[in-house]
Amino acid sequence: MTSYDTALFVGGTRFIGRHTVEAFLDAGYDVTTVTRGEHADPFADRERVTNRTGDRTVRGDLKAARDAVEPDVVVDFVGLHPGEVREATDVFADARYVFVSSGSAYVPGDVPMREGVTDLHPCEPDQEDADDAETYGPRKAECDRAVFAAAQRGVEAMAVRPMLVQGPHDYTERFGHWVNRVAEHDEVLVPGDGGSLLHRVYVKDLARALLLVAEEGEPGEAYNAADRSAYSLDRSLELIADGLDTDVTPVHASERELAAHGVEPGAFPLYTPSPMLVSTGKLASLGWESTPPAEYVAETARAHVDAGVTGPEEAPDRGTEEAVIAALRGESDEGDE
Amino acid sequence: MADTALVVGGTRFIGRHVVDDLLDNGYEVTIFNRGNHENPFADVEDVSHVEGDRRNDTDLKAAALSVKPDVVIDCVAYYPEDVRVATDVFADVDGYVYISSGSAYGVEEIPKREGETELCACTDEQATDDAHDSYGPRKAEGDREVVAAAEDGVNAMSVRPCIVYGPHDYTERLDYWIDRVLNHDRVVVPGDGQNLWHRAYAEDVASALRIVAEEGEPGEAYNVGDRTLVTMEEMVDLIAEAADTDVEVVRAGERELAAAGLAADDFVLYREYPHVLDTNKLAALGWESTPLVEAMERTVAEHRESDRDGSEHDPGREAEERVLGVLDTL
Repeated sequence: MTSYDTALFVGGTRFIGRHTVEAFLDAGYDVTTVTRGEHADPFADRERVTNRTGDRTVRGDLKAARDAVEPDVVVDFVGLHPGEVREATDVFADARYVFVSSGSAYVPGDVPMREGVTDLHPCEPDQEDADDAETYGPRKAECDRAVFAAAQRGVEAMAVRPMLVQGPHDYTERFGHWVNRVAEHDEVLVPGDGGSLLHRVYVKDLARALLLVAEEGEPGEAYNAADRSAYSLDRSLELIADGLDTDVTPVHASERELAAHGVEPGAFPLYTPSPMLVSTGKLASLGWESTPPAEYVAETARAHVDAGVTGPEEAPDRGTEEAVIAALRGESDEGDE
Repeated sequence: MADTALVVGGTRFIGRHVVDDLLDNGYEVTIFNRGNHENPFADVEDVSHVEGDRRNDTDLKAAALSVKPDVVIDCVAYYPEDVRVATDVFADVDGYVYISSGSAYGVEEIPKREGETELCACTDEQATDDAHDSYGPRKAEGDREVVAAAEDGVNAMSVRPCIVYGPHDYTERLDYWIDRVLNHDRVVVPGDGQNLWHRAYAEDVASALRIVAEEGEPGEAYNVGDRTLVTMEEMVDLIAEAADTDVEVVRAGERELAAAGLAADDFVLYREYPHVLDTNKLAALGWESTPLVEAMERTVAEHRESDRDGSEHDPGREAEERVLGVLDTL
């Protein structure tokens, strides 16, 4: 057993952090979260969890938290800019520091993407402080390089690269879109042939991965975090249907069939135009295991239904989907002549 | 003294690469087969040939006695009984490697992983029939024979390749796609192009078999497949790159294909659900795979010299032209 028992989380009250607090509490840690206080603290009434108000972009706030908590372990959930990670690895140079990076740090293309093998995005100096979606991957990659540089200086800093995170309290509602469609409808419109492969990770497994890497990870190393078993978009729908004890018929529409209604495949949550799969052997070699998809998808689907999740605003609306489905039925009738 | 290798089977495709790889690595090689196919090593001094039927126990024992191999690579064990007999006949070798298959896995997981993903069950009936449907079950049962032999102290291992491609591939599956790319500007790819069916370059399968014979753990199975996979669409692009030509991929969905009387699985190498093997276990033994472009360049170069065109897999260019006629390239 390690002797670590004090954790400081930078960010960590909404989704990933929320589950990670639970994992660390289960492992016997006292946890302090540092947040700006913009979201309600779900742990307000819980023992051994303390919230401090602070802004991670203010060095003084990080130092004050460090001096008050004296953490063994720091998990950084909200490092979005390389400068922030350089700052954090400096302020927390005496702690075990885990940076929550992203599978987006990789230049996509390799199937599967591997730590130390697949190229990371380059990041131009003028991208470092940007906030747009296009520079997210490059910024996360540069953050990883800041972690590696810190390790070179002797800091026990590691990076974890999660793929698409799923589970209860997922405020992005991307998986929620599909849960909603399966829960409410028999026929569900799916872009392409349903084989779209975006590697997911169950949030509670990710939480355990962060704990494991904090305790056992090698400084200067990055670890992919994704389900040991991936599944296609179609399979997602089946798993949701099984979890909700209902049935679903996916209706596949090609790019052209969608375009006729002004819809692009990429408009659908969780669709990827080419497979996004990572190797998970490195994390598994630390002893990490993941929950069977059927099990966690069922739990997640029920939680999303109970929470009334309907999906992201920008996803195709049901009316459009029904129009596409109706048109496909008409076209296929003609095709039968 | 050089180590001696016996290759059971080994003149047509995978075995041919195995022989080359073993020779490159200093082995004295004997091939054992019925002599039904032309022996490409007839003029190679370092390769001996013993004629016999691997399904005839006496033949196999005679080969074992005359060759006294250090390692045995079994390319043609299609029935569990073949593996049971071979692990008995070759019980004292340093390494016996059975070529199993990714088809031995019985459930659709991504990726399929040794020791974790369930294997096909195999009934007594399936164990002895030669139907295509029982191929996976028979290969899985062969793997279980390897495990049983290892428990009895035999240095027996399995290697599970996915779709093997490369020079001399008599299945002509990839030849169909190479032929399309070389002879046409626009090529139909079924579905959304994302289809994934893990492939393994033949030379890498050969090196995997040797490395497992030398370094593998008895009773263990090792997946082999390209360390990096490409989708069907990327495969077509890769062929074009390797052939130094251009191709327009035209994706066609199920209804778009149906309009010309085609279905996605009329196209060879299309598989509805992704088939991906985890290759980390083999890589941990020091095995690497050839960069994809290089592998494809050698494959295309040999295709050009061969008379293979993959026409047996052709869903019909006329039907394909009908699809192309109504679809724009996206």
